Formats: sequence, C-alpha cells, structure tokens
Amino acid sequence: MTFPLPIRSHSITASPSDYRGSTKLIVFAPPRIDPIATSGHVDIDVPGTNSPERLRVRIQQIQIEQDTAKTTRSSKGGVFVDLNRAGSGLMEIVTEADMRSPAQAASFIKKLQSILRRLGASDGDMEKGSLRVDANVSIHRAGTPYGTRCEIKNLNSVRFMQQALDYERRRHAIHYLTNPDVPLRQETRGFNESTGETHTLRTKEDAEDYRYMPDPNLPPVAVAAHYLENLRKTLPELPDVARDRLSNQYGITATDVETLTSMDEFEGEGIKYFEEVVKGGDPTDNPLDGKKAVNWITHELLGQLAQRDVAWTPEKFPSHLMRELLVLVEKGELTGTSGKNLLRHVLSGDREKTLDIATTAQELGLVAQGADKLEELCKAVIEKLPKEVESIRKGKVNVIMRLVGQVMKDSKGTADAKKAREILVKLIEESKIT
Amino acid sequence: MRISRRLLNIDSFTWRPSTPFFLDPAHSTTLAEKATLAGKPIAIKDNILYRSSPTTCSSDILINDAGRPFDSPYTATCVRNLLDAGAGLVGKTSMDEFGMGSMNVNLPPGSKRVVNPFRPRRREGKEERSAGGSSGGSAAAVASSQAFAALGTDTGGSIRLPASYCGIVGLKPSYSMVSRYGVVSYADSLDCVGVLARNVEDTRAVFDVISGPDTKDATCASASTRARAREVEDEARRRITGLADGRLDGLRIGIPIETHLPASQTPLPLHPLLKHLTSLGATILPISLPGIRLSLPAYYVLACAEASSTLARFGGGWFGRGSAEERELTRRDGWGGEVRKRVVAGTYALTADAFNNSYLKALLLRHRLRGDYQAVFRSSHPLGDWTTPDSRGVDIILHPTAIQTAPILPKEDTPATTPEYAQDLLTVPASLAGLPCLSVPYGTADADGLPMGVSLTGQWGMEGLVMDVARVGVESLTQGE
Repeated sequence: MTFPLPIRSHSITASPSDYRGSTKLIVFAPPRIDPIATSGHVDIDVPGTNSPERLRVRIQQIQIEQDTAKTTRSSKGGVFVDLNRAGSGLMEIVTEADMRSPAQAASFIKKLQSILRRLGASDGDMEKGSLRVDANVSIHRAGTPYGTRCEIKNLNSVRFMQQALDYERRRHAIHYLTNPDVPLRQETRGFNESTGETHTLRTKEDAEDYRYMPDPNLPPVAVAAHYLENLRKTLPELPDVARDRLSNQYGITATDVETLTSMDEFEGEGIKYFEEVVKGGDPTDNPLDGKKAVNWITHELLGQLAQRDVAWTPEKFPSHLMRELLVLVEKGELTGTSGKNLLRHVLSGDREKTLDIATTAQELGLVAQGADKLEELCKAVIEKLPKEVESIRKGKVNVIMRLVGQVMKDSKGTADAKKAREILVKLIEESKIT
Repeated sequence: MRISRRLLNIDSFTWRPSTPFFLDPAHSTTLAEKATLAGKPIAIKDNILYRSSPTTCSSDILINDAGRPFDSPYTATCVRNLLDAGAGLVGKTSMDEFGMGSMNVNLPPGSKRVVNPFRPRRREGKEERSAGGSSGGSAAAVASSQAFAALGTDTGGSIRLPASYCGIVGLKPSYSMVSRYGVVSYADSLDCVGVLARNVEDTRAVFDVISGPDTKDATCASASTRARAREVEDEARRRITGLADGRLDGLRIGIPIETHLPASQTPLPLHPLLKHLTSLGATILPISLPGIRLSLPAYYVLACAEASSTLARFGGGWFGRGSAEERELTRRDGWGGEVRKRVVAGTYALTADAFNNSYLKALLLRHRLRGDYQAVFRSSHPLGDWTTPDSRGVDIILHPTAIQTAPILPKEDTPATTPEYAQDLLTVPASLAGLPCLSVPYGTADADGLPMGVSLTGQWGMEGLVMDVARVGVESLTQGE
C-alpha cells in the first residue's frame, strides 16, 4: 500500500495553478512522499546476432504530477505556451539507464506507447503533447566509467528524439576527443527541430529552485489492497502477453501479432477479430488454420482497406463473414482468387448483400467450377487456341500455362487452376490419340 | 446583555445589490424542504465567489485595465448551499487584502475603512475602533444588523478575532468541513469558510447549511467521514448528562496554562465565566498544550509559504493588465504592502536554502501541536489513529479569543500602533490543528467597555457540541446581564 503525497513546485512559467509535483524530496515523518509505483520493467526487442533479442528496460518509478503547460517552439524562434492542460494530472515514468542507442530508446518509446494505449492511460500521441520525452545521455569508452549526463528536455516525436540523442552522443564524443582533460559540463538541453541540434537550456549552476512543498489541496491517497488487486484482475491483455500467447496458440509470427495489435492499440479489437475468425462463435466450430486466417486478415482485408484509404474497424467486414469466407475457401468451394473478389465486392458494395457469403458467392458466379463445367470450359479453350495446342503437341509443354490462364480468365477466376491444368493435359493427350 | 448598543449603517460592503439576491424558487426543487434560511439576508466575504458579482479580495490585482473587478463565472459551493436553503444574498463584505491582516486596514488606497459598530455604554474614547480582520466587513455587517449572518474565511483567526472585537459569534469549523470550492485561497492547508452571526443558534443554522461533502474540493470531508464524526460527537454528548436540562453536568473543560497571559493581555478576566460554568455542573481542569508557545511563528511561516504558492497564480497573465510587458508591473502595483511582504517571506521559506530550517521546522511544530491537542481530548479523533480516548481528557478547551479588545483604527497612512501579528496569538493554534473553534462574547472589558470573546475548541468534527456548550454555558451568562 502506498500513500503518494503530491508535491507542489514553482517555476517561472506562471500558470493558474502553478505547480508541478515531484518526489525528489525526502522529508521527516509526517508527510510521506512516495511515487505511485516502483521497480517495474518494459521488455523491448533489439536486433540480436541471429534473431531479435529481448532487452529489459527497468522502470525506476512512476510519479503523479500536475501539468503546467504545453510549449511549442515556432520556426521563427518564438515560444507558444498552451495553458489548457494546466493543472491536469500527468504521469512521470522514470527508467533506469538501460538503453544503449537511439534505436533502443525509440523502440522503448513505441512499446511504452502501445502499453499506455492498451491500458487506456493515454493516447500516447507525442505531437499532441499527450506524451513527451526527457532523454538523458552519457557516453563512455568501453571499460571506463560513464561520463557526464546531459538531459534533453521536451522531445515531441520518436524521430526527433532519435535525432536529438544522436546529435548529443556525437557532441559528447567530440568533446571528449578534443578536450580529454576537461569534464563535460552537466546541463539541461533543448532540441531545435529545424537544425537538428541541441542547445543549452540551463547548467547545473543556474538550476531553478522549484520551491517544493507538499500540496495541501491534494490530500494523500490511500490505495487499498483490494482495489489494487481488482485493477490487476481487470487488466487487459498487454502486448507482450498477447504476442507469446498468440504465437504459441496459433503458430503465427511476431510480425503478424504486431500487425494484429496495431489494428487497434486501445481496445485490442484486432486480436479479438482474429480469434473470432479462427474459433467461430460456437464452441463446436472447428478452428481454422491460424496462419491462413492471419494472412487473409493482414494481407487481403487490410490491403483492400488500405487501397481504399479506409481505417479498419471490425464492422468493415464482420468476423463471422470472414470466417464463412475462409471456410468456403478451405472446403474448395471458393478459390482463393474468388475469395478475394468476393471480399472486394463486399467492401465496395452495400451491406445488405453481405449477410450470407455463400449466397453472395453464388449470385456473383464465384462458386468454384465443378468438374463437368470445368471440362466444358477447357474444351472451349482448346478449340479457341489451336495454335497453342499444336505447340504443346510438338513438345512445348510450358505453353499449357497459357491455356490454363485462358480458362481462369473465362471462368472469371472461379476455376481451380491445378484441376484445369490436369483436365487440359488429359484432353490434349486424348485428342492426340484420336 | 450589554452588547446591544450598535451603530447602524456601517459601510462594510464592497458590493451590494439593490435588493437582496434570492435564488429563483423555480430553479430549486428542494427549496421547500430545505428552506431553513428562507428569507434570511446573508452577506459573504469578498473572497467567496458568487457568479456575476464582482470579486476583489480587496486587491487591485483583481481589477483589470478598464478598472473592472474580476467577475466570477461560477458560484462557490457554500454560497450555492445558502441560496438553495432560501437565504438572500445582501452583498459582499470588505476584508483585508487576500485575508492577510487582523484589523481590516489592508485595503486598496482610497477604500472605505470598516468601523467597529459596537458603541460602549460609557463613552470614554471617541476614537473609531477596528472591526478586526480579515473578515471585518462580515463582522460589522452582522453586528450592525445589516445581515442575519455572514460568511467569512478564517486562516489564522480571521473570523474569531472580528467576532470578538464586534461582540458577536464567530465559528471557524474543522478544516475540511465546508467546501473551499469557489473560495479564493490564502493558505490552502489552513483556510476555512465559517460563519459570523449574532447568536449561537443563528450560527448553527447557517453552519448546518454550508457544511457538507463536495467532490469539487479534494480536501472536503466525505459523507462517511462526517457520519463517523457524528458518532463520536453523539457519544460525547451522551456523557454530558445535564445538556437536555440546560446544564453542563459531565462536561470537562480544559484551560491551557499557555493561554494564561499577563493582566495587560487579559482585558476581561475569565474567572466569572469559569464560576458560571462550574455552577452549571462543568468540571474545569488546567491542561497544557506546549505547542501553543511556538504556534505563532510556525503559523506565519506556513501561511506565508502557502500564500507565496497560491498567489503565484496572480502572475498578471489572467488578471490585471495582461500584456507581457506589464505583468511585472501588475504584480508590483497590484498587491498591497502586506501581501507583498508575506509573498516574499513565504518565497524565501520555500527556497532550497531556507526550506529545512523554516518550512520544515514549522511543519514539525504544527505536527507536534496537533499531537498536544489530541493528547488532551476525551474523544478520539474521528479520522485517525491518534490517541485512544481518555476518560481523564477534556471535551472542550477554553481561553479568551484575543489579547485585547478592538484596537483603535489607525489614522490613514499611519502605521498601526498595535503589533498586528500578536493579535493572532490565541487564534492560530486551532487553525494549525484544524479543529473547530467558536468565539462567543462573554462580556465587556472594564477598562473600555468593549466586548471580548471566549474561544471554545472541540475535537475535530464536533462543531455541534462546541455550539451546545457555547449556548448553554456562555450565552446564559451574558443574557442575564
């Protein structure tokens, strides 16, 4: 059980309720000052020797603060202060120095964003100011201790953060190479987005005195054990857990899970959709092949939607329809090409016709050709293309593919190419004999 | 009683509507059943927000370019409760700037000063007396019968001191009993909204209306906390067996030895009152609250530190003249001398260099004082694991409210002869401890014929019991005269 006591601080940027909490103060017994959480971690993927490896970034603590304002630097050098956020709560998440490159920092931020979104804690949008990063940099020569640490404040995109870290890393290296005897000055720095450079905001000497004091308007909050337990129980499935579970259960790749996760980072609808397609609505439904299902979802469905520049939602093509479609394909009643056509038709057409996939497929004439129908088609093609047939008879076997192509074309994709080939070969050989 | 001769038509308002403002009954469905204050004219201190009335806190910093005061877009919870109960708003009353002062003289230049409406029977001195501060306008409005009751705020005695000087009743409730939503902050951990009225029962009627939970103030006590406090209070009431018959049998009253001051600081001796209380069946006991001795400096460090924080919002960007260049001017010219002094002192107390030896020490003294109070009460604190109830403890702590009667109003532009801060000597302990404290008149001083109040302090959440004892034990003495 923790009793976080909000702390007020004061800075020059005046805001209506001019405070910003922090927990950097140790006070005698009566007011207890505690972060809301300590000793956590976030695992990220980093490139390994052969395959990606997992890197654990430790979270030192999370503390609740009050936001003061959002600052935006204009290209002309002016600073705009947006005070609409003043007084609203914010979380400061403090990591340990566990990241070794700008790329690692970037994948940490992206991972953090997906966790925050899944938890419903924040939309994690850095441009909107929902998430900001203060990044600390220090470098060393292998085998020697780390040098001076500099903090870059208020980075507002992952790209800018990487740029800033990269610039700062070089700056430190150049300093140590050119002035090996002078220690680097410890300072807080800002990042200029137009030049891609960092600059001094303040040094240790002119650090601001925030004049910390316990905030009397925010009494300590007692977090009851049962409340905490309830939160733990109702936690949504987090990205890491989802990845392990889905790849074990369905044999799909990490990239596939990532795509499913990214379909809806907030409610996890993408993963839910996938599992509905695979499992069906009824416990007696036969599970479909996970890999095939994920391919249909991520390639066909998302691909089609991307072409139309439409964002995915489960309603665009409800999971039971997708399942129905996949069942038809699996049974061979619908070829893959027909399935894709059907999907395209449903996504572009009006919804009334989509209530029954099988009927729609019939209506569109997409149902796979039976053997008799296919043979008729093949005969027609042989008659249509006598030259090609002649070439085949003379031994140019590969020309058969042109005939197959024609069959596919004439059947509007409903023919099974493999079967069509068999029939064509059979017919041509038969005709040779006669 | 003698405290009845009063000057009328004292100018104690900063804003007065032509007719008292009542809530449109159509807007309040609960009006009929809750109308305990139906038709009662009530004044509010000028740091309590009422929608579409000006709020100045007696400060130029809340006056804009065009010379217009801040016009609040919302109404304080306590005022909303009053209006819902059928009360009429008669106006907003003068105060020391942002509540800082004890004489209602820290006003913008050219403002009308509030004169104490009380007129002693013998007219030795013709000098005008101060109504006290910082809720001086509220006290004067009530004492001169321009309002049935008034709301004030009390950070270190700003309700009780004016009540004592003007010969009326003033209640500073327990911290967090009345919502501070819509009340301009001075020191957030000490500010309390309270009541000034001419007698205890009027005070009770108003307090019962403004006291209640409010989600808009995180420090306002919840309904369940209030229920727990009521249980403890009912238990304490049952021990005072004489209460139903207008007696105090079973009541234990403690007199802190630390409040026993030299005769020069005790204009009206307590012993006639103590004799009266004993005759009603109460037991008087000497107690010790050692923390009182250092409570005045502790109070001023904490109050100023918090003021430097809460007043930081008046940065000139929201109120005042606005433009970036003029912000500094706004802060320099907008605040009066007393406010500037306290902001500077408080800012210093919070700097990294001074913090440990000023703010933290004051916090520690405050903590010890709270412990001192809890060690002497018979009832346990409804909120905490302080000490277990002690049958040898006391129910009420009693001492004079002030070290003097109403001081002479200093001539304008001359410094006050009375050291202002010392006047709070006996009022700040209950503020630091967050306990309910009621000042009720117990007579007039022989020397100048001016009224004096006695303070009754109870366990947290026991305003009801404090008011019971004040009515039965103290008002019965003055009414006889």
